[in-house]
Amino acid sequence: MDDRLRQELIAYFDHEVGRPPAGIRDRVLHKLGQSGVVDRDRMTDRRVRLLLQVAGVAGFVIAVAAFAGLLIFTRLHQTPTVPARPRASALPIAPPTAEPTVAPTPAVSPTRVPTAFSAPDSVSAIVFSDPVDRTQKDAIAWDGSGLGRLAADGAPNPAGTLFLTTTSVKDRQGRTVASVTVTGKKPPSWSDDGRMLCRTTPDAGVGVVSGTPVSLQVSALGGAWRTVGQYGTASENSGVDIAACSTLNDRAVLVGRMYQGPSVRQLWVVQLSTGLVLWSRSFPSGDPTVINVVASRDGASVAVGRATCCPTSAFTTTVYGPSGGQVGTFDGHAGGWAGTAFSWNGSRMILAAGTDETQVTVVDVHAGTTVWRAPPGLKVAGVVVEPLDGGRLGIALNGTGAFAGPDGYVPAADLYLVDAAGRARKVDTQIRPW
Amino acid sequence: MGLESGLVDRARAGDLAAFEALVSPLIEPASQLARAILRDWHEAEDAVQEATFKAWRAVGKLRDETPSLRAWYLTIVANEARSRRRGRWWSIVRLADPRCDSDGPGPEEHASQSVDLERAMRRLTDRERLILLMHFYLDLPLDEIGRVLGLSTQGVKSRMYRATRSMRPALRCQEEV
Repeated sequence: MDDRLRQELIAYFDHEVGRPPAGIRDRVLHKLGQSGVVDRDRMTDRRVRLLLQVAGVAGFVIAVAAFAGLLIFTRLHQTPTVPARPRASALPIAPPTAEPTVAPTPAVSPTRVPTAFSAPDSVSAIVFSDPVDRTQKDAIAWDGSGLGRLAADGAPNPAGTLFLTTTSVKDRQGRTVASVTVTGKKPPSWSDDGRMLCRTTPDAGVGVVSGTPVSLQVSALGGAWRTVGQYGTASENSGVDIAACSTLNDRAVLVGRMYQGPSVRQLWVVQLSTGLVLWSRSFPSGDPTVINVVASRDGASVAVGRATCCPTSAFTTTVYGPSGGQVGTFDGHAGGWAGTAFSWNGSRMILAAGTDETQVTVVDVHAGTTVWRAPPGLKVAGVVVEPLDGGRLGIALNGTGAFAGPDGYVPAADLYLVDAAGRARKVDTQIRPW
Repeated sequence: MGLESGLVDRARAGDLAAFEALVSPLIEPASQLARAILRDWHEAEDAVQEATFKAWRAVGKLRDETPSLRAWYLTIVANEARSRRRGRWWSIVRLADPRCDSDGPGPEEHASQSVDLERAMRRLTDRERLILLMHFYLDLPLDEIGRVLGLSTQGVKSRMYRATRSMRPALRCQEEV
C-alpha cells in the first residue's frame, strides 16, 4: 500500500471515528468499580433464576406425566356416557426474574448550569463536562467568583482560558484564536504557560519502522514547530509521551512506553531551550512493572508508580526531585488513574491506596506526611491543579450517585479543593468528571 | 505478545484494580472500534461498558496461552457492538454505491480527496472497513485483527488487499474525471 493512501485512510478515520469523548475511560472504569459487587449479586441472582426455571420445567414435566397417566387411566376405564375430560394442571414455569437494577437515582435536572461563564480571562477556572450534556463544557473559577457554561470545546489549557481542538485554538467564548494542524493520533499537550504547545513525533503506529527516533517539538499558537531534540524511539507499538511540558521552568518530562500493556521503559527530563537531558531513568521489564509516570506541571517532580504483585496488590510510588534525586517512596498510586497527581510546584501529591484505590490522601512530598484524607470509600475521578502559586488541588471524588441524562447514567463526582496545608472545601457536588 | 503475567494473575484472582490496570489503556481504542461499528458515541460507550463487565466476569477463565490481552478484550467489545447493532430497531441507511460516470459529483467536489475517499470507503463491506480501521488507525497487527474478527491472518491479509485494491480504481476514477 502506498503511503498516500495510508495517510488518507488515517485522515478518513480521524474524521469518521476520531477521538472518544473525554473521560470515557474514567466512566467505564468507575461503573465497573461500582458494579464489582453488584455483578456478583447479579451472578447469584442468575443462579437463583436458573434454579427457579429448572424447578418450573421439572414441574411442567411432572404435570405432563400426570396428565398422560390420567389419560391412560381414563381410557382404560372410560364409559360411553361419561367421557373423562381431565384438566391439565401443570405448574407454571417460573416467570423471568427482573434484572437487578444498578441504575442509581437521577441527581440533577438538565438545566444545571444555565448561565454563561463570565469571569475575565485573568481568572483561572476548572473546566469540566456538563453533568447532563457531556458535549457541553462548564467552568468554575478557582477563586469562586463564577460558575457557568462555556461556548468552547476541546482540551483546556492549565488556566482554562484557551481550548485546543483538532483544527484551532478557541477562547472561552468559542472564538478562534489561532489555527493549528494536528497530525497523528495524539493531540499536542499544553505547556504550563498556556500559550505554547508541545508534541512528540512520530506517534507509534503501523508503518513506523522500529527504532525511528522520536522528536520533541514546541510551538507558539499558530506558529511553526521547533524541534528541541530526539529522545527514544517509536515503533508500531511503542512511543514517547509527554508527562509535563513547562516553558516557564524550561523543562519537559518524557515517558517512553509500550502501548500493548501498561508498562513504562524510559523516562527523560530535558531542558527545552537546549535539548539537554537533565536526568533520566531506565526501567527494565519485569516485576514489579512500572505502570505509570506522572509529573508536576513545572516538570520538577516526577512520580514513578510500580505495581507490586501477588499475593499483595498495591502500588508503590517513588518521587524524584528536580535533579533526579529520590525524594521519597509512598504506598499508593499517584493520582489513581487520573493521570495528574501533583500540585503545581510538586510539593503536594495525591495518593490512592488500597486494593480498590478508595483510600485517597494528599501528602507533603518532602516531609512524607499526610495533610488531608478524603472521605473513605471514594475513588479519584479526576484531578486539576491550580495554576502557578495557587498551590491547591482540585480533586473530583466519585460517590455513589449518578446522573440520568439523555445518554444514560453517568457517575457523579464531588469536587474538593485542597490547599497546601490540607484545608479542604467541597465546592461543588455531583459534577461530571472532566 | 505475551500477557502481562503478574497483572493477569491478580485479575484472574479477582483483583479489580489489576483488571483496571490491564484494560485501562485499551478502553479508548475499544471505544473507537465500537464507534466504527455502531456509528454513535453514546451507543459505543454503552457497548464498551457492557463488554468491560463481560471481560471482568470472564477474566478468571483467561488462559495462559492467550497470546494477546488486547485482541481478547477487543473481541468481546466487537461482539457486544455487533450484537447491539443487530438488536436495535432502527438501522443504518447505506447510501447507494457511487458510480464512476456522469452521475458523479461536480468538478468542485472532485477536488476534495476526502470526498473521494469517503465514496470509496462506502463501497467496502463493514468487515473490510473494520479491518482497515484496526490496521491503519488502531495499529493492530494482522494476527490480532484475525482473532477479533474470527478470521485467519491470511484471511485478513487477502481482505485488506482486496479492499485497498478496490479503493484505488474508485480514487483513480475520481481523479480522471
